Amino acid sequence: MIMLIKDYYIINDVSKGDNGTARFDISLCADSTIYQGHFPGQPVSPGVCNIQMIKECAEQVAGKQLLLNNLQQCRLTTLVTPLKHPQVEVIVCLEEKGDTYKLRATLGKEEEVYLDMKAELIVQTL
Amino acid sequence: MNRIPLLEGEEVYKLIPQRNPIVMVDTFFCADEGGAETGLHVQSGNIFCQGDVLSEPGLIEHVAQSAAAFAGYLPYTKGETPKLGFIGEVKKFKITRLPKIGEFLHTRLKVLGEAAGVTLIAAETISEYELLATCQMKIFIKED
Repeated sequence: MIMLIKDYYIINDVSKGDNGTARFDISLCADSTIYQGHFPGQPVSPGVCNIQMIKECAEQVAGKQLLLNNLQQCRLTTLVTPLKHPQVEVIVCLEEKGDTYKLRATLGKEEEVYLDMKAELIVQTL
Repeated sequence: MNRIPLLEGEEVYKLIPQRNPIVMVDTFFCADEGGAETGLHVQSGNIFCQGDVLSEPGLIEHVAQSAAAFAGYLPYTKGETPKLGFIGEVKKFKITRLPKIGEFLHTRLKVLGEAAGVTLIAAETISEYELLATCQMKIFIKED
């Protein structure tokens, strides 16, 4: 699967459950080029990069390239930084409905949730 | 549509705290208390481009930084530096088409409400006369 920002994160482990669920153990890379600008001298993981990371996890579960064409809701409740949160977990639940995938996902660590989202994705045709 | 920008290129740095490689607004047309209009030239070196298109996070970040620029405009007119702003929530983000390299995105923001440092905005992004994306967003501005 394609990673949009290649130095942003590393997947250490994936555990796939039944019916479209999966858990990804991820390291956020503090030396990613993105932190040169977000923000200078104060690295904060861009919310959109975390949304993209979750999308890429969903693509792994689907085994297809997807387009996030309807992000119904995404709450970003904790400011994530690669220094305070070097290890995170992404949990995705993907349900195939015709030509649409329904996604529910969280980004967090153990009991804590930093971001939760609900979205619809379609198979990307390029 | 207002086509004469107030600020262009690196002049927009006066309104936003983001720097390269994640600057996603390069044009600031106008603002008043009810909203703002911004723009972005989609260029090949853009970190959110994949193949010949700007991907979804690039579009979302463009709207988020448009809101940051809007929030930074009033401090800028008073000679102050922009404050850090963060996305609290993205809602109803619908994409009809991903923009291609070479296109110019024009975004209109409308303030729907404001309370306790949180601004709720609605945005629509067009290219020429074609609507590409719409969304709502809650933005927090970090006070020092």
